[in-house]
Amino acid sequence: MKPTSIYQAWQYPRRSTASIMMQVMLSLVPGTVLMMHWLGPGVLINWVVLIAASVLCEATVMRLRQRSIKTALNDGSIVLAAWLLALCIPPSLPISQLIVGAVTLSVLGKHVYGGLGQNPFNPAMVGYAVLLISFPKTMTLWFDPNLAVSWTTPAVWADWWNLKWFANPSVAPWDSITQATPLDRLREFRNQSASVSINSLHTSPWRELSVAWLMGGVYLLARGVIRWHIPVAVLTAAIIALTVQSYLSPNTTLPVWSAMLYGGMVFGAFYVATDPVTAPSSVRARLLYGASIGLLSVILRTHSNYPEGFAFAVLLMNASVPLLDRWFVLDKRS
Amino acid sequence: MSSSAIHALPGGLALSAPMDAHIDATIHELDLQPSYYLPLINYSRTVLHPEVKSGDCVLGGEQLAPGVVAPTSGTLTEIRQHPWPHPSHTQVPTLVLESDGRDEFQQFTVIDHTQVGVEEILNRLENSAIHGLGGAAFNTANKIRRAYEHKNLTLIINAVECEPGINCDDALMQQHPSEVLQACNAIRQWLRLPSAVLAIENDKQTAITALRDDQTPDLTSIKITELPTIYPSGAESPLVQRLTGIKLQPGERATDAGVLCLNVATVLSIHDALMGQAAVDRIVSISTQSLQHSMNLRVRFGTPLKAVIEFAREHNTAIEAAWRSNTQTIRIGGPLSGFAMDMLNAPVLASTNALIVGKEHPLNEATACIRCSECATVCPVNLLPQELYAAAASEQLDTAARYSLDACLLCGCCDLVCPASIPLTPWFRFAKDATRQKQQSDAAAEVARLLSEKHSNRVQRRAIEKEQQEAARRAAAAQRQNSAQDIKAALTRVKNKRPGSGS
Repeated sequence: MKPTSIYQAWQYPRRSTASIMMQVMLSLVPGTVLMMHWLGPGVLINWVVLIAASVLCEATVMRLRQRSIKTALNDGSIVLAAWLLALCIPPSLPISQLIVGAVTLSVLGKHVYGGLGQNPFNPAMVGYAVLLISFPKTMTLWFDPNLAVSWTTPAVWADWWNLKWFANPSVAPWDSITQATPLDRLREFRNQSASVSINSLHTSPWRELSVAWLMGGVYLLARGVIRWHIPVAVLTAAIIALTVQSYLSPNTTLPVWSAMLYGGMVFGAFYVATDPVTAPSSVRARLLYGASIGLLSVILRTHSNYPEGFAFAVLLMNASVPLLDRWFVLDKRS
Repeated sequence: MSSSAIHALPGGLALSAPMDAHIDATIHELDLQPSYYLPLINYSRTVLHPEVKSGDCVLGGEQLAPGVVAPTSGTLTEIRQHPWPHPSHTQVPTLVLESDGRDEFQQFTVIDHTQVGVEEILNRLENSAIHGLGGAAFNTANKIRRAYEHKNLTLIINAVECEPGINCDDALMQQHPSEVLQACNAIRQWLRLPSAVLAIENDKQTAITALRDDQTPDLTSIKITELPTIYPSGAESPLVQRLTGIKLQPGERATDAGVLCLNVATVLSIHDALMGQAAVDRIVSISTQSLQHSMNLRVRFGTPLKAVIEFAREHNTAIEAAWRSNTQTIRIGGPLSGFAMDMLNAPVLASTNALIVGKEHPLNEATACIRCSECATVCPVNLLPQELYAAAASEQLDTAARYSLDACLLCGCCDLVCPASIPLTPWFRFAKDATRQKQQSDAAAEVARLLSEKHSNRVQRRAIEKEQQEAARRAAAAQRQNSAQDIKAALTRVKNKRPGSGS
């Protein structure tokens, strides 16, 4: 007889899927608020539009699949995925592109595979990769935080409106308001074979944000929402790879700690690589998975066309999860 | 043994009964029932062949089928399909024994273990149908036979009883501490071991005190070891791991590693069997759903569940109230490892250690597994329940076997923590059952294949033999013909000669 549903005699305080998602979102709040504070209203617009569009898309797909919309939205997984994507994209990204991101995340990231729990690839990273490849120009434009931030002047809000709807900066030409991120600058240095001067990089607010993500991650570890294996493996492998790199070519690399904090490494280690659906299940497989992501993202960061390689590293390793799961079936027992 | 000698369990949950629980440790006796139902099936679901027929009059303790003895004297009225206490809710061939009210027992001799060989003792256990009373109901004689061959045998008496709501062993040790210790010591002497460990969870202080107070000097060879309260320390492989540090591999039994674990109540029934008394009953705990109220009852095997519950309702108002709140369904076994049962004419068997009465809390509807691994964290035998579930739910039994479905204890820890409320253990139970059925049908198919192979070989051999016989016959006929012709020719020659020679 196949089990259909069970009754349980013993009551035990159990965590629900929704509460796990809530914990993760809670830990994202400080970093998100800081990001909005430092990078301007664009981040807030991204956040609202991405979440709203993704939820709408999720509901539509569930309707088409004739499944319960309520169940799908109650677990909070789609909100979390959209939230994570919102933290990876530049504040200036036009709304049309945001919607492309939301649809990709929900449909291509999740539902073509059968919905929550079935997707082999991290939905937020699928959304990110599609946006990055489709819109390379807008996806790599980041505003100078010193110029772009204004939460009080209506004129600036109007500019944001123009920018987000029509991709048209009315205040000034792009060049004068945008700024290369530290890793972009680093790539430029490397391409020109110039030696890196850390003072010429605009390190704020990237460093501070990484610290915020680190603290959020520590909170999740303390609450037992994520386990230490993947983030520790990612960060350790990345530190080792960056150290080796800095010995091999000291002129074109940043100090290891700066390199760790300026990109998306910390965010990815705690919030992207730890997605349980797309990570392997056994402990040894998780260590290998995390270490490969750390290593791959350093390699991609240095040798690919993109300044940051975390998303692609995660997607590549997502693809290898079935293999890892096969290799490490019985790790804890033997 | 100090608590530092106890190894940590890789998973498990710290569960305990409610602090203010009223556990009635008196062992109530159930009156003789008009009929008893004895399923002709064993724990591995092999159908047993009865050695009696309907209409036979039997005495209590008399063997009716391998592993089945009569719980009292009476007449076997029929063999029919009857429910049995199993989560499959199926009916199996069952002997119905009509009690004659005299409750007479067959007389057995007392076996002195210093005088007779091991085989005789094991035969007695076999004939007395001694089964483990801890919950799995293994054949005790087989278990001891496997363990007996080991040189460095460790004897563990399992009185851990780690699941809240089950307290039959607790009650037994509280009420009969000296009998328990004497039985343990007798087994230890029989197995020629210098000492044995009696493992008990440290929340049973009344029983521990009772045992310690009773330890007379010659019984010091039974070491009482207190275990911290972690479910499921009382299951065999976690217990072996905690006490000896030996990690059993999937499919490996404790006896393979030289450890013999016997439940404390089983030890008493072994002792009874050797002393010539039939062991035809067990203690059953009956609790309310909240586990606030619990009582213990000595019940003969084959007693319908209904009779047990009626007795409990009469003697315990809390159980009566819980029964009234309910939907006529009870749970057999503990709150975690048990299963729901609505066929209350099913009998009590050796594995029926507890009953829970009352309305159960429906779980939330199961949602998608997000592979969060909470289940793997609490699994006491280090399995990956999330992967096992995926395999079991898609009926990929080979994959489930690769993830060591075999090693799963069905303890239910994973069910309790799953954020998606997935009924994991029921799925594993289903997959285990399906695997067993597949193995049995595979074995049957193998037997059929061998038979048909034998048949075709035989047919072929017969054909060849027939061919050879035919050839031999033809050869013989030819020879006969030849020799007949020779004779004829000779006669002709003689005939032809004769006139000539006569002339």
